[in-house]
Amino acid sequence: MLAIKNLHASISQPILRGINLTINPGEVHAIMGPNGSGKSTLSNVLAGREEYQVTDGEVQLNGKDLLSMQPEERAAQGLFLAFQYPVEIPGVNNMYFLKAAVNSIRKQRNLSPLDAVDFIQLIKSKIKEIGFDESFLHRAVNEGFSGGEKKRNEVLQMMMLEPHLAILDETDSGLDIDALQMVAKGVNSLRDGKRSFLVVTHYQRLLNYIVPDVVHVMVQGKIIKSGGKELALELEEKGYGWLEGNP
Amino acid sequence: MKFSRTKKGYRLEIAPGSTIKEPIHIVFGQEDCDETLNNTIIAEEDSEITILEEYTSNINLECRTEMICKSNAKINYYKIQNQDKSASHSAQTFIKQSKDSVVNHFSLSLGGKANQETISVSLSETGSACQLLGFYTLSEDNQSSEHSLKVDHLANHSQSNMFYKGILNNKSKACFTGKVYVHPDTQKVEAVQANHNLLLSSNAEAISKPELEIYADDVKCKHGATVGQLDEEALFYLRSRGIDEASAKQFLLAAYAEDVISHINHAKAFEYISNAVNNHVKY
Ligand SMILES: Nc1ncnc2c1ncn2[C@@H]1O[C@H](COP(=O)(O)OP(=O)(O)OP(=O)(O)O)[C@@H](O)[C@H]1O
Ligand SMILES: [Mg+2]
Repeated sequence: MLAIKNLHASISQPILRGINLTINPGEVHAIMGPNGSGKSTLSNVLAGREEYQVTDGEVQLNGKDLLSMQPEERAAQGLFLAFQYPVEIPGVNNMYFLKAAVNSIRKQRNLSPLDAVDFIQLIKSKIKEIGFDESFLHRAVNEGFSGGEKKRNEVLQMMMLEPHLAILDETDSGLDIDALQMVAKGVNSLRDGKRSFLVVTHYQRLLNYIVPDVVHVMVQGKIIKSGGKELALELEEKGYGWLEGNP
Repeated sequence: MKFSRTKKGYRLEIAPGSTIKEPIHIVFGQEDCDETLNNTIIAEEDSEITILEEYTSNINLECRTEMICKSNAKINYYKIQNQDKSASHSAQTFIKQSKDSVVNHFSLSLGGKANQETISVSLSETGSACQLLGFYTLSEDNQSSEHSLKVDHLANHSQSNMFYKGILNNKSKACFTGKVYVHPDTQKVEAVQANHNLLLSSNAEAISKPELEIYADDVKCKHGATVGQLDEEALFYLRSRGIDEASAKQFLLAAYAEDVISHINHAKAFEYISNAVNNHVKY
């Protein structure tokens, strides 16, 4: 699904310093690590944010060179990033935006666009699934949404776009307990043995709901340790200090 | 209603107490006008009228418009300037308002070469209120616009609101001057003005000049001006959801315009103007 080899990226200074990561179809990987270690940078580089310069390495998504693609092509190839800080876009209606996104991806995949009726049916079933209020569809994208509402809106978009690989960058931060379970439910409903997930989190709690196959620890732009789901528990208990001492 | 029109302009009078909901659509196309136009709109007491005025000619035009809005009358005036980009549009509008009257003036400027618009409003009696809205796009090198607005607050409880936004590309230039004059001994006056510009090119230039002259104490006055660029983060967000770059930019530009256009409260006029903008604002 995703193969990252020796990825280096910088923004005014080097941030990612040789990331290697392979995610197979159907797997859930979690990345944990201290603030500022480069988790969001990795997410953004994968999604195609041009601000970051890739200075070395390569990334393949389903065998295709990801780094040469425009952000919209990456989305069409099935990559989705739920942002840590979703941006507010005043004046752009949430529902209208989602319809454009769904149909734009369908077009790039040579599928016919959904008409208004089909689209509304689809979105209504999805918002029900994650317990989101319909009124959010009629507002501008993320404008004035609370922190948790923004995260739910990210999950709604993920449910609508049905990506092959979803990256969730701290989607659990700022969520109340019910919302956290909803998000987990949403993710788990998409787990079909083929779809993969990369989950960035600071909290082991999320991983009780979305059980990962592999847990990685990122420190200073490198993955310094990988293990099973027990690793998250160990980190929760001991912090990162013991690792940084003996990388 | 009395309406007469020649190649030299029109005269519209609306009788006391009568309300005309449907917009009166007046087009100044190629064949329909001289180079100099004189228009007069008179709304008598307690009347209401909505006018949609459209300029599509490819010659230089000079228009002088006079509006008289008597007590408790309301004029909704929406102007679309969509002239050829080789032709200049110069407009002078004088508005005189009586007690509790309302004028909603909207100016959409899409075409033209060197455009000038001067609006001068006298809020001469208590409770009169005007809203001056505008949206302009300049896309060509050396295309320019100059909006000079002036509101005279001569009476108590008078209100004015100026809100103009523009999108500029290439080596175009926009200048906005908003003058608010609050005369001595007028009380409970509210005056708001804002001018925002979005520059799509580093060669484009936007100048905003608020001029506030306030000679009374009980006045609420606000003004603001910004010059910005397309929000790169928002653009990336849209693209990351599969929307191609051109469409994503289109979304953001339409949203920028929507902010002004959404203030048009006449449903039909709103639809007409929104379509005009969306067909025109292409990245
Ligand atoms: N646009 C930027 N300009 C300058 N520095 C940046 C930029 N983006 C990221 N950085 C720096 O890169 C480093 C990694 O940031 P990143 O956001 O990837 O960390 P993170 O692991 O996601 O942290 P957190 O857990 O706090 O979300 C930080 O030191 C940050 O300050
Ligand atoms: Mg982060």
